[in-house]
Amino acid sequence: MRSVRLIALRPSRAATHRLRAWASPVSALVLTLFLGFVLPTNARTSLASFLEHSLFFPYRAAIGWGPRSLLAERALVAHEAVRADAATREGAARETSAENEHLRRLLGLGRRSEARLVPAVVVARGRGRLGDVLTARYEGAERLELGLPVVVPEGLLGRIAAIDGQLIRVEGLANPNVAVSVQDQRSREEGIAKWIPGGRWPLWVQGAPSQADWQGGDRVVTSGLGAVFPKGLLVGYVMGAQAEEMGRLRRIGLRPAASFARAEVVFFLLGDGKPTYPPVTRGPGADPDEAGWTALYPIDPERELSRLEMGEAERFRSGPVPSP
Amino acid sequence: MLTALRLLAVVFVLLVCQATWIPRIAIAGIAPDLFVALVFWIAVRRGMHWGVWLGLAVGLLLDVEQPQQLGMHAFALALAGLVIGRGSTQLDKGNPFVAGALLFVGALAAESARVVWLSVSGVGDPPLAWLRYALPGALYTALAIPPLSLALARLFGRKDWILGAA
Repeated sequence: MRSVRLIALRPSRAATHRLRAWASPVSALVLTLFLGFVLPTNARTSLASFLEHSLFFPYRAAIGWGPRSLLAERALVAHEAVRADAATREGAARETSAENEHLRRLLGLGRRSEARLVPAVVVARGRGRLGDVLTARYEGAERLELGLPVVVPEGLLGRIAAIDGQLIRVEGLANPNVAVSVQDQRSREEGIAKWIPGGRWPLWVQGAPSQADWQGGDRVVTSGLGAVFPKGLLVGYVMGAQAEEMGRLRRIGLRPAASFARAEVVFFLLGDGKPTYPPVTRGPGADPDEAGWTALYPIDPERELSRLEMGEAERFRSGPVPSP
Repeated sequence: MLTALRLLAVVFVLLVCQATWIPRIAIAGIAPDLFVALVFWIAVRRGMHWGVWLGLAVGLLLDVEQPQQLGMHAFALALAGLVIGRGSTQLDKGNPFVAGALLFVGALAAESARVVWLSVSGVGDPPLAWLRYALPGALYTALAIPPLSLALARLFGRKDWILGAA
């Protein structure tokens, strides 16, 4: 009787087997719940650190966790690649934009001018103690001559110094061999602009009378005197003045309008007897030269005059420089 | 011994894959879970016990990254191993559709367990997170893993896509 009762209380073999089958998975789940909800936070951190440096060390060495992991490194590399790609695209877009602007200016020059302009591509450039010199490749059919003026959309650049087949040697305004007869477009004062090495400004008009009216910011154009440069080509802007060493004369500093360093395509101004500026319908009293060349070389809205330069211009405007 | 080493190698390769190219095929932040796939393969081939304990081990490996939530991935993958292992003994695991459904149920169990775990910990809104992450994640896992598994099976010269489970 007693043995029968014991047998009845003991679970059957199948039930035991079933319990054993579930014991292992359930204990695993209970273990995870214990880790997540019973274990204190610092103990969890310690356990994680222990696992990281013991059981999972191979994984840590090969792939890792967190910001120093392989995943994070890959994300970083991908991010850098995206940034590099964006930078490349941005650079290409900027280059295209600059090229586009440059071409528009060149086209605008061609449209605005009635003078015969023939283009040439700059292939070499030299700037040094001997002055600005560049070499341009000319592939046109027009016959070029020594001394022809060379212009860019911003203004006069120089003149042809030598011709060797298709290669044209151009001397810039900042060159000891080039002297330009210039005129203040506002006051009509005239002078000879020359390069003085080491001067504060690239070009100087020497021997200007102390009472002559040259003001800072004035546009200076070619006067047409002499046989080389036609009248009205924009040379530069008045930037300042210095007293000459002797006498009551002074020298006027000019900043060239055309940048020799940035010229990529230059134009040779062919002399054909026609006026080199476009005819402009104008009212009585208007200056034909100014109107024409303002149209040909519009005042650069971005012409930079720094505050210091403006200050100098104001000083210059205040009166003649006292002689030493 | 050889089996254990092979399993370790497979786990390692899957971990590398999960850390490298799996994020590239993520859609809206949802990627297939190779660890659920690993648990699925093992649970189907070797049974519930293997599935549960392997899920626990791999889950702990994942949990180490976030000690604050230690046990979450372990619980989720162990639960997936339990569901898949239990289901594989009751159902016809040789049938690809049944196996696919089993994979989906296992993945859904794991994702749901994560959602519940996080909500108990006070992180996230359970219904929204379940709809946003759990369900799509499980679906993506169930859709992406069979072709991958089939490709691997063909690579190793096996005819079934569950790598010899049938």
